[in-house]
Amino acid sequence: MGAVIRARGICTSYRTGFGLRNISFEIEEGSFVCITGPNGGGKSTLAKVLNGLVSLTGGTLEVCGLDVNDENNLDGVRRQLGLVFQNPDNQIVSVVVKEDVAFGPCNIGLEPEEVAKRTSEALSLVGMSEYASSPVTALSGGQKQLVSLAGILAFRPRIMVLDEITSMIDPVERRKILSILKDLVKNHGITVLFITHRFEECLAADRLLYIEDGVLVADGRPEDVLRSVIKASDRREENA
Amino acid sequence: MRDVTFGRYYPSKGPLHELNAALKLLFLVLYIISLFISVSYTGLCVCIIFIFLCIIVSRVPFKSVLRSFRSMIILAFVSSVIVCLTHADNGALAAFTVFVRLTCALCVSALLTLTTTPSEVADGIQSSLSFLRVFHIPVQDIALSVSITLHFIPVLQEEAEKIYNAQKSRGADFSGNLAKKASSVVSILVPLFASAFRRAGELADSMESRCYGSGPERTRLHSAGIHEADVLASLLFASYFLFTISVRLLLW
Repeated sequence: MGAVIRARGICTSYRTGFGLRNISFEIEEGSFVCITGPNGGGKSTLAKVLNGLVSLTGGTLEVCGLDVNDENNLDGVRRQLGLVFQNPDNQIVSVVVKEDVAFGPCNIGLEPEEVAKRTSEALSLVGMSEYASSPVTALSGGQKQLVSLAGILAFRPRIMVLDEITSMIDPVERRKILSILKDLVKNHGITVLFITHRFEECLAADRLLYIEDGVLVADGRPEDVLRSVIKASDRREENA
Repeated sequence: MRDVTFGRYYPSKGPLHELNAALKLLFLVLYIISLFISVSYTGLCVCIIFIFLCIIVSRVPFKSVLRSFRSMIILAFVSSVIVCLTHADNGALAAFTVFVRLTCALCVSALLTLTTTPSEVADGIQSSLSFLRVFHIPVQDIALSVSITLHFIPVLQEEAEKIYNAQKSRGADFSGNLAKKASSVVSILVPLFASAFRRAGELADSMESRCYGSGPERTRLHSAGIHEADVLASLLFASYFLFTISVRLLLW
């Protein structure tokens, strides 16, 4: 399988001074990749860059062969690459579960029958079919996050970028979300880029990217990357 | 703060929940017109009886309807006091009429939001105001803004309550006279506004990443057709509306 994301020397600049600095990587289709690193390191910025929410100031970025820096491609990029944010309460736009899942397909002008089909398909993929007509307020944090996932799956994307989606939920729901993600990768061929702070979640991935101060510090097998990161951190502490 | 429930949807399978949202919006506007053309007590009584019947039919508990707008009754009360003070003759009666009208208007608006999801309200507004597109008015954006506003009212209420509890746990004093209370509310409002702006930013990013405003005309999950129940409800409402006009003409 070929690369679905090609980033070459990407840079962004924020007024606050935080941004990405010369990051290059390729992501293979159907892989489960984790991205980790300290707070403010640039992980969320990278997620937004991949979705075209933050513009590049340098380098080139291709998602499914589309140049993200070209505004005409943004619609196509967002249909192929779905982005789920950390707090489900800030991304759910409707009161009823199925209405929220249908928000994306409605935005791209699909016929009501197709919208309904994709909505039920997406809810079934995340195991939330029985809650289709429930009010979102009646759901737990983990269930809300599954609704957010379904909202992206309704686009039938090739890539999903998940920005710390398990950080606000309990361990049981976290495990459930992880197993759903693994199923999406294994059985549906979706590429998952999972941003997390938890080492145990990183270990579940095929590959780990470690970003610090806007720089891609390490990239490789999760065990190797974590080992090198821990060693570097220990060295810093000793020197201090 | 937990008692403020205006704008909240009450999930149920009542007949009003099933009605076409655009029709419900039309009924709302016509009902408010009927309130203001009813100048006699008989006419107002008809309006009150009608709204009571609607609440019973909706299967929304009466308590929930009352809770939904009771915090806004103060507006009706203040308006009626102003009317009372500015009317030389029959000031009390005029104030009473204004109070009843505004309370009924609040009640019917609460009933609309309790029986219609914000998305349905958006669809209803979009259908009802679609003719404005001729004048390049962004009806779709207006409708979605209304829908999101209704959706976020309870979210911001919860946020306000969390901030209130956090400030109280840090020793903030919300008791005392009105002036003292007003100044202490600032310690809730500042973080609440900051949080609301942050949420708005994240929501905008989320909507943009889900292709909102990407070009094609937005479609809907359900094609909002007119069903038998809508026809029946329209006939009943038309009867009510004609009756209030007749009462007005007869008791002129």
